[in-house]
Amino acid sequence: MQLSQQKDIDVKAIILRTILYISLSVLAIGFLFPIFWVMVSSFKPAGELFTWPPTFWPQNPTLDNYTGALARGNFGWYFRNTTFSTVVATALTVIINVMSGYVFAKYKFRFQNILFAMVLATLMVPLEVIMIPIFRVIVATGLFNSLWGIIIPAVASPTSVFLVRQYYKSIPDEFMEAARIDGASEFGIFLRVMLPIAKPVIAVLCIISFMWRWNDFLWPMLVIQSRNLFTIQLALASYSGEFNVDWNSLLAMSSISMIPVIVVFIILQKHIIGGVISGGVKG
Amino acid sequence: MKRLEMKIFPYLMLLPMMIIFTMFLFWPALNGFWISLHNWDGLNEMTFVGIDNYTRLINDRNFVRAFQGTMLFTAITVPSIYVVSLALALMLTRKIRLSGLFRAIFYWPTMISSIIVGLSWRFLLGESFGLVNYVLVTFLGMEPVRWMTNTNMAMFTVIFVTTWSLAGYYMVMLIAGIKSISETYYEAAEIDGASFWQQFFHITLPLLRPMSLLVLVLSTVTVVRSFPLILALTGGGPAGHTRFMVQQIHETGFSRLQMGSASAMAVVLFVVLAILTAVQFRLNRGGGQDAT
Amino acid sequence: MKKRLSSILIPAILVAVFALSACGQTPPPAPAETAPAETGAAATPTPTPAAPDATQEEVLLQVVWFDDLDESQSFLRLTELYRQENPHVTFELIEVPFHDLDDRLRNLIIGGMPPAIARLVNLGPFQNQLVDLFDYLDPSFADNFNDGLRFIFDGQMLAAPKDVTANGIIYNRTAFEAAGVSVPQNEDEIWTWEEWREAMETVVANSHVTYGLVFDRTSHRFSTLFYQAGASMLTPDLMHSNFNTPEMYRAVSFFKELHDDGLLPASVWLGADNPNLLFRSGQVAMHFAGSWMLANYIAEIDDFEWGFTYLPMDARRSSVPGGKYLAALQGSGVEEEAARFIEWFSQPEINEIFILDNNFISQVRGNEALNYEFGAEFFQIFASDLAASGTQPGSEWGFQEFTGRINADLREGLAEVLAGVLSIQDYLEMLDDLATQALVEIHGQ
Repeated sequence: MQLSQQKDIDVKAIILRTILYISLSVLAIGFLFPIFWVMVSSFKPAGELFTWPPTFWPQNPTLDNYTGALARGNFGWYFRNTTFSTVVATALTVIINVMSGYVFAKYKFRFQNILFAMVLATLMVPLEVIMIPIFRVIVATGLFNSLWGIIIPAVASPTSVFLVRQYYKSIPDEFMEAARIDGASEFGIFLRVMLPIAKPVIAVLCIISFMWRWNDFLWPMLVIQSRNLFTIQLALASYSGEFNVDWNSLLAMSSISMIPVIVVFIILQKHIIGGVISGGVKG
Repeated sequence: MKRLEMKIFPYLMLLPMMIIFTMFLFWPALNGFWISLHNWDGLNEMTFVGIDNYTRLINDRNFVRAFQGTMLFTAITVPSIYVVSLALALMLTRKIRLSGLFRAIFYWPTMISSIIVGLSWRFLLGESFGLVNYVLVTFLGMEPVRWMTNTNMAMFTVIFVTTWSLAGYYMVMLIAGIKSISETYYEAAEIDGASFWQQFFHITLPLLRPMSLLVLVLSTVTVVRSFPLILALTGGGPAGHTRFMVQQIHETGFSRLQMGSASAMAVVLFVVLAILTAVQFRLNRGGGQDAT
Repeated sequence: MKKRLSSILIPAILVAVFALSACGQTPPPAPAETAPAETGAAATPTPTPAAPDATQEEVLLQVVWFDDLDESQSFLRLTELYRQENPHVTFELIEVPFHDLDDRLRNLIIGGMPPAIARLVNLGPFQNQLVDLFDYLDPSFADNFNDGLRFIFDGQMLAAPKDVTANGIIYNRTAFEAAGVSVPQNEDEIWTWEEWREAMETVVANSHVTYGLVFDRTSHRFSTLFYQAGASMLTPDLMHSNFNTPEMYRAVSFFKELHDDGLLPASVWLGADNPNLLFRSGQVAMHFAGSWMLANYIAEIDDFEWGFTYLPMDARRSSVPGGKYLAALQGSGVEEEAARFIEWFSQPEINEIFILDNNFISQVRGNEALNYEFGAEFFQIFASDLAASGTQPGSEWGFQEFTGRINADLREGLAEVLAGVLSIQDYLEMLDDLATQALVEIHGQ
């Protein structure tokens, strides 16, 4: 009796598991197909890119798109600039926004709601229309044509503050109170108790912030002027002219440009794990 | 001392963020509001016109249509993003092999530039020469589907591709949210013999409330403001049916050189988003958890 | 106690660090006439001039530039040539994607850092910020150019036409041969619209192509048709709207019929399909685009033969000139040097190098017939079409203060007509109103 019930559960579990894997695989193929096309097409010669009937695999695979695109600009520099600004900006983004999100979630202070509403409000301003005023500020602060100009303005991010706040909201206050009784300073509590707990959300923050900065076009377009300060996205944009788009170079360089982001994702996603053992604590 | 510390500490923690926001967003946004009260081509002298730019919007046929289109688009896209990303997150927080790889795959679409997204989807859904229609017509003998030029299909296409391109992003946030829910709840439920759906409705969903609020608010804001992707997909067509507010703002400001009008539209967009967000907060009770 | 303090101090220090790192990067705000500090080591390594003329000061000319293919290469080579004669001048190319050209230039001007020179397509938005070249150059400089792109506005020469393009038809020769249809070989054989439509129908019926024509989704390209029908946007004195006419009606309804009959794919004007890519697939008989497509198609089509042919005619023949200018900007501090360079660049022998490198058409007097390496016969066709166009297309599209206001509505309204949600008559009336209103705003009254 006991045994057959056990068996039933096993069979059921196996079926469920199989369904899970099949649906995941189908979804994964669907999600990846357009991207796979981009990568495969980046090996097609120009004449083969748009043909009828549509072909998926290149008939005469070539590396010309890559060598051609690399020859047109100093990609080593672009890569270096992008890496530098992305890494620094991501680090600063994490520090600033974890600090802010934490106090919004765990403290009560005057103007708290107003300040938080202001943070959220920045989400809702379409940047496109205030480009001219923003540009004036960039020039006035001397950030024009400097990599710091694409780092600093974007490190304060309403999305990140909001994300961290929501995460801390789901963590019980008991940890802080225990530390406070032990006489820890507020900053000490943050640094030693609350920050380690936030490891999963910090991983998420790193992932999305890295992606934003790596792929950002808006700020570099506004700030960067000299070619030796170009980021990869700026270089990619210059493949589109008034009448012509250099699709071959665009496909090749886009494929290369994706790699660092996906590598960072794969490394960091492991840290998105259960952070708190809050057994018994009511949320 | 402790009291003083408690008072000052939060402000100090917020200071770096607030300085940057003030300089690069609040101040320029106020400027943008000021511009909306003027006629301006972006370069030459401004002339003050008061609220003329706003009153003119009411009779602007294109603006009204863009506004309605945006609302419809948002009303469908946001729930579908939420459902898809939550489903993915639920599947990928189970103990399965290769979950890292799967997560990476679903996240991947979020990081491709819109011009490439447009190109690759055009390859698939191009009406005359797309792969999908080729298969439908050649092998299945069907009529080609008018993915981009039929009013309803075009709306479906932009909703579908937008969901595809954003679901992975919110999936990551929801995974973090689900992971932060203590295992003990599930263990207890398991002992009580609760089914998967019972666990989902009584544990996961309530405890995920803060992250759900986050995802809904962020995706609403992002979807309302989505512009480059749609431009690359349908160009706003057919005949303006997928031309949403930000594209309208952009055309008004930078093609027609009416910065004043464009800024007024942006202010309206801002107000609409603020209302939507406030409503979401209210409905979500501030995003607090309430486990049942 | 100590801990209390630290919790206040540490965030404060962090703040200070941020404030400093933000300001620490700050080079003193660059005055308008000097370049930002970093730009010294710009992309082109510039050899230090050997022995600059003792009398002349070093001059840096910043050029805002965009590339269609890679014209910057031949431009840079020419600047080196210029430096051999003028070693005191150095150039810095500020490369901007075409789509951000106007925005960037506007920002630089507002930010008080106008470049010396810009490669421009639209002068309209910047006409109050451009240098009147007559301030520095002899009035006879204007005689260096033929008719075509307009460059004199209210007696001021705001730019020099650098390269010209003509609208044109590229046809899929392989498909035409398969269908046994020939294209006009000389001016006497030019298609009427009806013959043109017939050619599309025959090629679609008798070859592998699916569509007769793809048509670039721009007002500029569409305007070719209404000029051919004998219509125009404005009266010849450019003072009144001329949209609501039977000729304009005919052009719009012809274009709609072509779509309704399925000779043109709806996905270009109603969707955002790229006509260039559709033509490259080999499934379309003709592409209504322009001379600039030459270089692109040389590089990127290799599975069928193609060529250019004459534009068709209705009430008259017409092409529409387009192209790019070099303009100098006010407030750069080096206006005179910029004007001198533009003058040098517009000499026939220099202009010729740039034109031939890039397969453009020249507006410089004396460069009407150049020895093109490829497709010389096509350039004769472009020239013939341009010559037959009259002055109205050039002067209307040169009136960019006006076209800038009407352009988007002209294009988007036409899409609505094609989709059947706007009647042709309503469309023309709408344009008529908008044009009248725009003219009032421009001329004030």
